[in-house]
Amino acid sequence: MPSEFYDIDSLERYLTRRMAEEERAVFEGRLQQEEGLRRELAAYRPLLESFRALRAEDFRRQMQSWEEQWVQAGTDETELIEWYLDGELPGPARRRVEQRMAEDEAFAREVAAYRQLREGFDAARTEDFRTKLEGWEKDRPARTARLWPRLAAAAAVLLLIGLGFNWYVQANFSAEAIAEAYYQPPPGGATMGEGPDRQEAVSQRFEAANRRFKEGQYPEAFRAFDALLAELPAAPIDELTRTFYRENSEWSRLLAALGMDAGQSPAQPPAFGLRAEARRIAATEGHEFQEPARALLRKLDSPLYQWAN
Amino acid sequence: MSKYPDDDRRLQLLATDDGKAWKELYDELRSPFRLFFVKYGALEPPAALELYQEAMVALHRNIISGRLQAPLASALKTYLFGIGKVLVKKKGAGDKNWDDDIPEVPVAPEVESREEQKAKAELARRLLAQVDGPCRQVLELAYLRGFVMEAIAEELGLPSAGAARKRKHDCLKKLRELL
Repeated sequence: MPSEFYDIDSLERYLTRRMAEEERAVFEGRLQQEEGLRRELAAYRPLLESFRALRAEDFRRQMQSWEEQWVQAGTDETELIEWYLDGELPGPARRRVEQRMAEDEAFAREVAAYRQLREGFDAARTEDFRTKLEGWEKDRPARTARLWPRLAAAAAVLLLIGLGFNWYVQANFSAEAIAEAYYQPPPGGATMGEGPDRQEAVSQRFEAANRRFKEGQYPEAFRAFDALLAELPAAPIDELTRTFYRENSEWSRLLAALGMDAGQSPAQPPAFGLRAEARRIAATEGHEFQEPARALLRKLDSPLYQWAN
Repeated sequence: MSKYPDDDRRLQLLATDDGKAWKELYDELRSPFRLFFVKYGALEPPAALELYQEAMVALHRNIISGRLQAPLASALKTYLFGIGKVLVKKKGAGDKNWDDDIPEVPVAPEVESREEQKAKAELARRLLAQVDGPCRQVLELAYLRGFVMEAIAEELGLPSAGAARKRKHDCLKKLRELL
């Protein structure tokens, strides 16, 4: 039968596997019987395959253009280094990278640079995590005790990572550091509206107590502020001045107690409850140190304070 | 119920040979594919890239020919990796036995023979150059750009899909005579 009598549509559907199973079986039966159909099939097969191959070539060209973008970005080398640093590469691939590092100084420098970058990212993540921990602690002070073991474990990991974390904690969360940070030296020559003759004695004692504090003599400072506070109610000064000395002395006495807590000085008097006093000041409306007291409590409740002390 | 609804939707787009969709797929799977075959196929990174492109060509063929259709039994990524495993196995590279991991995707044997494929593509180019413009146009739309008959009719200003189909078959016959 001449070629024009064969159904090209059927031939094409058979060659491109788009025939239903039943139709395919019938078609294959015809193929066995008809020499002409086999000849036509053999003629159209390379034609369709050539189109398919040409289309694949087009697709390859497209891929090459996409690849050019990857080459321009130069990310493959970075990716290889990342796989290496991630420990993703098994024995032979890892050895190839290490051999290349040994032979290619520039590549070794790249690896070292990326290692340094990753350590920086790790440190940044650690910092973020630490900030979150602090946030959780602020939000849920009642859970501190239960969270503490986990926080301690996390803090231990952070310490192992190093990067100055321990230094940071000691510098910012040790009792002594906190006492120093929250201490507010009185304004020089403080006169609160009364003549110097009437307030001289109180002022001198107040200044002496502050000197002790500045010198780090926390037990002496504590006792000095404590004694001053005991005398203030009867002191011959006006109420405004009395309030000034009282609030400053209460705050400084609290910080002196905290400084004693650092362990460098003898223990604070047992009758003095550091946290209770901080809470009292924080709850006293209008107290000059109400806000600092609240901040101090948050810091004392922080796991980092526990860690540092 | 589709197991991979997102991939099924993506497959519909890929089947239309949408260049953007293919590029997105290419960029998305390039790194994980290369890492997998560097890691488990013991390939050098350049060889893994070459394998990736071969696997992509095979996946492209399977999708545009309609052999891979929704609903998918595996994720597209699994199919692509499966093709990669088939190719590694056929090339005799690597010592892994991945038979259980390979989804049912037919990979045409000519995928491995680039030279044969190039020769076939050259044949199509040569034959297309020998037919007149309208024939070349309809054949290119049908076989190289994957247009359906309705779209060809619209593109060429033909009255119906049937008219487009007839022209395509007439032109295919002309090529057949040139063989």
